[in-house]
Amino acid sequence: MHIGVRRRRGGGLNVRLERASDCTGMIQIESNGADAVVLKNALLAAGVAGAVDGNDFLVSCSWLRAEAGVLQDDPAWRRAFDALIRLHQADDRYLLQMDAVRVRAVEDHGPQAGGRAALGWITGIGITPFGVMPGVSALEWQTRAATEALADAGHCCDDVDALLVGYATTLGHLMPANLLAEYLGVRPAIAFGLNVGGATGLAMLAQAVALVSSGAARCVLVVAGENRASGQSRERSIDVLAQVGHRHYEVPVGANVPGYYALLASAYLHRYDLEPTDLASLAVQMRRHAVDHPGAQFRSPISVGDVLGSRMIATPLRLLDCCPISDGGAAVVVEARSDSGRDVAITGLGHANRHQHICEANLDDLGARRSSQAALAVAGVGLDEVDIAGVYDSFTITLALLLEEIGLAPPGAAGRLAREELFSREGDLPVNTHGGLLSYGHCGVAGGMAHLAEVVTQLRREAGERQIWRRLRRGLVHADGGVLSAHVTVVLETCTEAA
Amino acid sequence: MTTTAGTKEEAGLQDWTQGAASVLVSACRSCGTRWYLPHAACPSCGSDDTARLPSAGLGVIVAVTVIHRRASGGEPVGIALVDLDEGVRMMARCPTSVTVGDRIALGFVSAHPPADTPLVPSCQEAT
Repeated sequence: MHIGVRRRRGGGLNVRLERASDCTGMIQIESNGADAVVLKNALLAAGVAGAVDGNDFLVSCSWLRAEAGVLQDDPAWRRAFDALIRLHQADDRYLLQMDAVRVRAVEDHGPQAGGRAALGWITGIGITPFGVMPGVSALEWQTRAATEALADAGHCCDDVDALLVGYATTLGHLMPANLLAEYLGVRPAIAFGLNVGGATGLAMLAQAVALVSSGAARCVLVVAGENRASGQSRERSIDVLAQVGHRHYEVPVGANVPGYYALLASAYLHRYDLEPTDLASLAVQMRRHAVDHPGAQFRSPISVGDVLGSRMIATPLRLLDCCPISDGGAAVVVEARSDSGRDVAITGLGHANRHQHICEANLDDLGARRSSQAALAVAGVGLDEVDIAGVYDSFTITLALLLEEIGLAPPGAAGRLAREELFSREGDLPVNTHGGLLSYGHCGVAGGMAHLAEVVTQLRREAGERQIWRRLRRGLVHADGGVLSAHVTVVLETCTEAA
Repeated sequence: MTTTAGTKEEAGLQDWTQGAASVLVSACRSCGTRWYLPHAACPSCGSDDTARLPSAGLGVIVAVTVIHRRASGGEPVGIALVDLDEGVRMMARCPTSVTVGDRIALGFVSAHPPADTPLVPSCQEAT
């Protein structure tokens, strides 16, 4: 249930019930305190459809929605309700949104994570190996990942009431979620596809959270998969991806996606007086992680010399500065409630979309800072409380720019910190412990979900040989789409490790 | 090839995306903001009182790359981001010799020689 509260300038709260869901369950209004008793009595006196359970008064969401307007006119009810909201805010159980104009109270559905109410729970994940594996269709990659995620969550197809599916360039289908639903044997009430480039996976996760927290869905399956390496030629993939550039003013000039990112790298190296060797150390670290993951596309260690000696793609980016084109799939199950210590709480979400084309990008404000700060504010934590990160790394420059704008590395220092092994499993901030897009591989939307799957796996302490053994309470996952155009950040917390 | 047509009084103006050897810059008559890529209205203040004017074609390189495309078999292509003196950023072809910070002058080259068209902007070091 949502209780929308508008914050008055000057600090007071102007309560207005909104977006109460249609869920059939009862919402429990705790009666610990005189204010709650007043509220309870007011509800009873008003002839509210509900039930008394000991000291608690239970009321249905649909009733709250239907009657909100009438109740607002009752001053006693309003006073009590205002007080109750304040009580819960003091309890830290309600979330303050970044823009400080809206305060949204979210009913807590499960175990507390880090003292914060979870926005939703990741109850299952599925991630296939990535690589060049001909003979498997995009739909089949999606199916493999979805089946694995459902089994991991302990659900069957019948349990899924919302299915969200990312675009696949090799499919080019108008209705990817409906297509997969039919193939998989799911008949969801809600189904839709989503396209925001590399940020699609996390954007779908955010929509899944919105669906479960509003009560519109109970069990959301989020899926991506594509035979991007085997289902079309390499040139075709590059040409399709180049279309994130401006159709009339950029693409005809002759650039492609490596070219757009190479331009960002050129400006970056010039600004901080760095050399390509600084970016190369990020590729080396990603490969070192992938060596220990059996699903990674590339598992042979590389050196800075190997990166600098690889074929030039678009100066200053060489082949090993660029992610490969891969086949594979990934999926997650999101639910409102948790019933297992393996479940991982989503406690923060943030977005930013500042530009589409590189010509319009503000290189000092690409969107990653806004997105990550918004997510951290919702989670109520600082960057220094993040124990592990999954950060989009389509190119070495992508990882450098994102780490620095998020604030996980000082400006110009990402490469140096990688060289000093800060981002290794033993370092202060492990990053992309599966190997990232650069070495685990990049099959499109699922590539950006692999970071999510890895952080969940590490928080669950199920990463086997590559498990980080020190305590992990909290992870941050960030993805971008286009030319650092679309940004989504997610904060994840364990329920067992939380204080 | 079509693009947004600009405001009524500049309907006759054409830029390189329409085959003319010209770069046009858009400007807001209300707040003075300038931009290069087409927008429905001023991206700063939202005003639709906008104008398009020809650029003098002078600027500074802010980023440069040389793209090597093995499959196309062609010569490496230099691409730059250029900050025009009019205050907007654009993408253009460039010689592989230019570096960040160079002053440049814009001209035009064929995107796919030996064909004469389409024309795309290309910069040379300013003399």
